[in-house]
Amino acid sequence: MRLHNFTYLLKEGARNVVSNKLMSLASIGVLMACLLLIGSATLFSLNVNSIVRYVEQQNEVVAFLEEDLTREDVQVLELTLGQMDNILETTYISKDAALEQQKADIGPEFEGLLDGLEDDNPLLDRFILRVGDPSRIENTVAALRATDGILKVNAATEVSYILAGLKRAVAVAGMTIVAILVVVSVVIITNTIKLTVFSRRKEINIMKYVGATDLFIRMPFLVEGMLIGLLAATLAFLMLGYGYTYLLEWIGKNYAVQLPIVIDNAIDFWEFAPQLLAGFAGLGVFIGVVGSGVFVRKYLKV
Amino acid sequence: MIEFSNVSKVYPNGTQALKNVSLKVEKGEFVFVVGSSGAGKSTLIKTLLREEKTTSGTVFVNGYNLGRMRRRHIPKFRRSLGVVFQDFRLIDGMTVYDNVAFALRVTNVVGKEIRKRVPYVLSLLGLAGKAKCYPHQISGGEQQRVALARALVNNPAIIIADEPTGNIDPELSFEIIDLLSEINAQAGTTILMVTHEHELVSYFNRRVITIEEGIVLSDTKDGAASELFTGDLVDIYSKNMSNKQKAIDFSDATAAGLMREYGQNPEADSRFIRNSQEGMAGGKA
Repeated sequence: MRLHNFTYLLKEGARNVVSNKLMSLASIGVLMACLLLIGSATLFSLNVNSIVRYVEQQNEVVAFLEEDLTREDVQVLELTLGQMDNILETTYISKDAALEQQKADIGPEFEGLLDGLEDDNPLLDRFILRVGDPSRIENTVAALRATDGILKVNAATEVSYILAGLKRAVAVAGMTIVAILVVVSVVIITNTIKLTVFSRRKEINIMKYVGATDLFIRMPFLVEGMLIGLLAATLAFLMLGYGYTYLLEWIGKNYAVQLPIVIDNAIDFWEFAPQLLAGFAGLGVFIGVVGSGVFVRKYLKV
Repeated sequence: MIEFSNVSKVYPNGTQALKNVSLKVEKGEFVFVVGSSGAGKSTLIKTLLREEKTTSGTVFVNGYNLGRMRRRHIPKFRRSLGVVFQDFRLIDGMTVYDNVAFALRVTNVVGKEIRKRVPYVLSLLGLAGKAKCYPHQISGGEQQRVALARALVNNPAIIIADEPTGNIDPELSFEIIDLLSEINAQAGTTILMVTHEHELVSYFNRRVITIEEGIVLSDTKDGAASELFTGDLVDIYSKNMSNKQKAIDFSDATAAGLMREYGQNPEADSRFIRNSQEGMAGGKA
């Protein structure tokens, strides 16, 4: 294809988009919504992943001891635990040390709240255990529970499970919505192209009679679909980028205390922006081209 | 040039549009095809353009066997034809110049060639002054001349005119056929014109093929003899023509030679060249 033809076809495609303003806007809007949802779901999953990874890295299991253990019992238990599979480190914390720790945690302002508990300490003695392989944490916890002298085991497994479940739910719901939106986008773009074909049926008719090739007649419609895809991708990308950054700032400002784990582990949007933009553009162009390219033949009958 | 052998066409709905039609048009002939509506004229044109395939029989046009032609060869085949329609089919949003250039732009003709050919064809049809006008700014007769220019700009071996006078004032109909006759005489272009206006046919006295109900009813070399009736239109035309000069003056174009050698741009005035460059500004690339 010669260069002058290429320019001509690009120009024609752009003209199609402009001359069908309303339908082009509708197509761009729906496609943009579709990409926004895909992007939001992706960002959400990435953040959940990041948090799950963080939680898993903690790999901390707390084993609370029964109250009536003697010092010897505790020493024996420490040895047993140290020899257990998948446990790298054991740290003994007495209930008094735990109380001191809590006092320090809540800060000097509220320290007084815990005053008087020293004599009748409700806390339990405990081992803080560092686990090696987080994927085997369940077995480790089961083994701990079966050990004599251990009253209760607290592991981050539940949090991990909740987050993993959330991740799955987001993925499934996201995929479903996105699939529906992709179909809707294709339908709307197809409709837009159909309108263009209709409004330009005279030109197409003449092109057929003067001997323009099928490819030449169809190309402007492909360009139209591609342009719609690219525009939608760019808009969706920018909206998502600024929206996400703003949301993070807002959470940071208002929920810094409640959600420190989110703030600390949030994904930086601009860090993976190039991949996202490339993905958006690819998907936008793909949907645009499918919408215009595959179905245009039906309406052109060239 | 054009050869139909035992051509039949049955549409999917059962309509039998052509029944065993055989006819031959030689290179350089000027042929009228007449017949009432529904007689099969449109189907004849459609098979000629390979818009429709025949049900049986063979059609040869410009050396192409249309029945055996592959889809991808259709565009190339159509470039060897020029087609004019009753409703002109000009693009409203394009100037006269661009309408004619359009036929070249969409068939991979380079900009340089377009800038040479379009002004030439426009001046040949007396449209040089209208190059910058839009279709709605010119008369029906002029619009049909633009359509003719567009058909001619590819320098086709055959021009197929489907009721080219159907939508224009009767007096101007003669002008269009005069033009076709000139093109036929000067450039040797084969012309096949479909019409149902008997006045025109008898006035111009050419070969007439009459189609009725899908069969060739008659094929005579002498149109006036077969259709002996003249109407008021002819009188009107004769009167008009005696008063004013013919709309088209071919005297400055040395006919067949020029038709083929578009390179010799007949003294296009500077204003026109500017127009044509503006018209092509986008197509340069």
